[in-house]
Amino acid sequence: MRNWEDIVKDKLEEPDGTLPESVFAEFQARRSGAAPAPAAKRSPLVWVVATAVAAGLAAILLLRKPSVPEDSIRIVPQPVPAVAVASDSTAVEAEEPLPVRPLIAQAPVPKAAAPKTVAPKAEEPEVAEPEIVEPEPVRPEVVEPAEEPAVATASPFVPQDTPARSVDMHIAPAAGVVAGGGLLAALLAPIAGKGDLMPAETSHYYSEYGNSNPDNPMEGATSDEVDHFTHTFPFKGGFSVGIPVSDRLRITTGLEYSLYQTRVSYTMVEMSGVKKQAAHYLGVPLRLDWTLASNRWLDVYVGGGASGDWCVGATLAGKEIPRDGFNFSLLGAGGVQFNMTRRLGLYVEPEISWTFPSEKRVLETYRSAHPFLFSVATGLRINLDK
Amino acid sequence: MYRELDEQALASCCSKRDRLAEEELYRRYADRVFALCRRYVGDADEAKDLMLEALIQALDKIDTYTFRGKGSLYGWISRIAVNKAINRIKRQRWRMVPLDARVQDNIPDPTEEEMVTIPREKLLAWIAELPDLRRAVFNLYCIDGYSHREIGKMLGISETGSTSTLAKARKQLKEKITQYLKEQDR
Repeated sequence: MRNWEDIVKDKLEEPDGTLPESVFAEFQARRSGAAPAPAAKRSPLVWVVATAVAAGLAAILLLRKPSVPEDSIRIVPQPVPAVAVASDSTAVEAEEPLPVRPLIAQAPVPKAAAPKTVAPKAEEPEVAEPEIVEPEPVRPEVVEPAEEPAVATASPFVPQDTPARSVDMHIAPAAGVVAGGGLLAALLAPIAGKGDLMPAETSHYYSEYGNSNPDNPMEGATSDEVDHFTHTFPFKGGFSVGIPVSDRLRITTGLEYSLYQTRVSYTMVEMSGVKKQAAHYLGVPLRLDWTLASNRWLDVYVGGGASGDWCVGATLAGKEIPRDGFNFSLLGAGGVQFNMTRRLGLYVEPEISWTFPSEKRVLETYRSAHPFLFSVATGLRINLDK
Repeated sequence: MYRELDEQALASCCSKRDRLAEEELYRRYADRVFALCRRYVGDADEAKDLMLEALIQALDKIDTYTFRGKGSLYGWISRIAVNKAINRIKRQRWRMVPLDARVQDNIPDPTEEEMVTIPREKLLAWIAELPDLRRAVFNLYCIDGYSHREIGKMLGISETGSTSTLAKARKQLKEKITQYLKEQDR
């Protein structure tokens, strides 16, 4: 008894003589060069969609820049105390409780370099008014102050209730691209876990950066404050490995570098300025991806998982400052991978992540301002067993 | 006159750009190459184009053909056609694989008597309905006799991937055959 596949083979191997005579004429015409070969069929719709998605993402990245609304700038009239010992923090505090935010490292400002003239700020006409209540930040939790306001006023950068929305940047509509279980977990995580985003221990930060000149307690020892933070959209890039589990499922992991840059505008009694803060993170994501479609050149997928990030360096105006501790995030991503070779591809992944609150976070970055973060990662990926 | 030529002589005449010899080559092998192409690409028009491309390329490169016995000329031409079909599949293939990630093939194999009753066109249609990758692997392994290792190299997949893809293709075809036989029994 023959195998059913052998019978299929016998039936299909032999021709059935269905070729019309016109095909022979076409063969003669092509062979003689009279009729050119037909152009390869394209599938334009797929490439139109892929191009539109890529163009949309590029437009979002390039055109949507963080803006600092005027009402995010808070000017609090402050008397200049004689001694830099905070006795009355109420003059410093705003109406709402002011958590300690060890955010800025005060670099020692050389006297010669520090401008003594007050740089006029166009945004500060309302000095006499109490602080302008900014719009409610996105974070649902209310940050309660710790016992550190007294310590804080010894710092030139008085911790204020820095508006969480000093950077007015909404998650772009392109976030609709992201799907998967990790996205659902990222959405549910804020409900499941609430916590104080403020680090509990900040004295170490202030002891190092609160007053850079112990010989002169007066240096910077005013109730000056940080005006606002301007966070730049984070850059993410990395190297990734895809390990197939089944025909569609793949485990993705690798090493990811993130750069969070922030411009900090501060106003002291006799000076103001802007300092640049840069924080560098290395992360290891672990994700399960589902391939929606693929061909030789392109893979489209969605996935979800988690990521652990370590801050490997942080500087403010070029000087090292304390770094964040370990960060744990849930994430959901969708992506497009351009297959340069059979196993090597270049990926672009819009990603939504939720970073869990952590007491080890000491820096004010785009991520701390937006724990529910939309970002775009790119990099190289090796696909094993493809 | 050209109908009596053996393969080696026919190839020799074609290498001299003898138009009549080329037409004789078409008459001998076009049907079989068309049937092969139709198994791979599924669509008759696409198979026709593929067949013409394969024959024209074979005639352009006829100087590289080496006679290795009876049937070797068709084997050489069919190899060209298979490579062209695979390249086309790899260019166009969107791997929209059905959600049967795990294959549990509990369907009994059809008997020889049952298979004889199934028309050739039905088999072609069911094979054409297979996803591109499954169709290619099934044709390469079951009909054209390639090994999983060779299939992996041709399609850019692993041997394991080729084996699992073949299992899914077999399961899908057996489901179609079983369903057709049940309908015929009613």
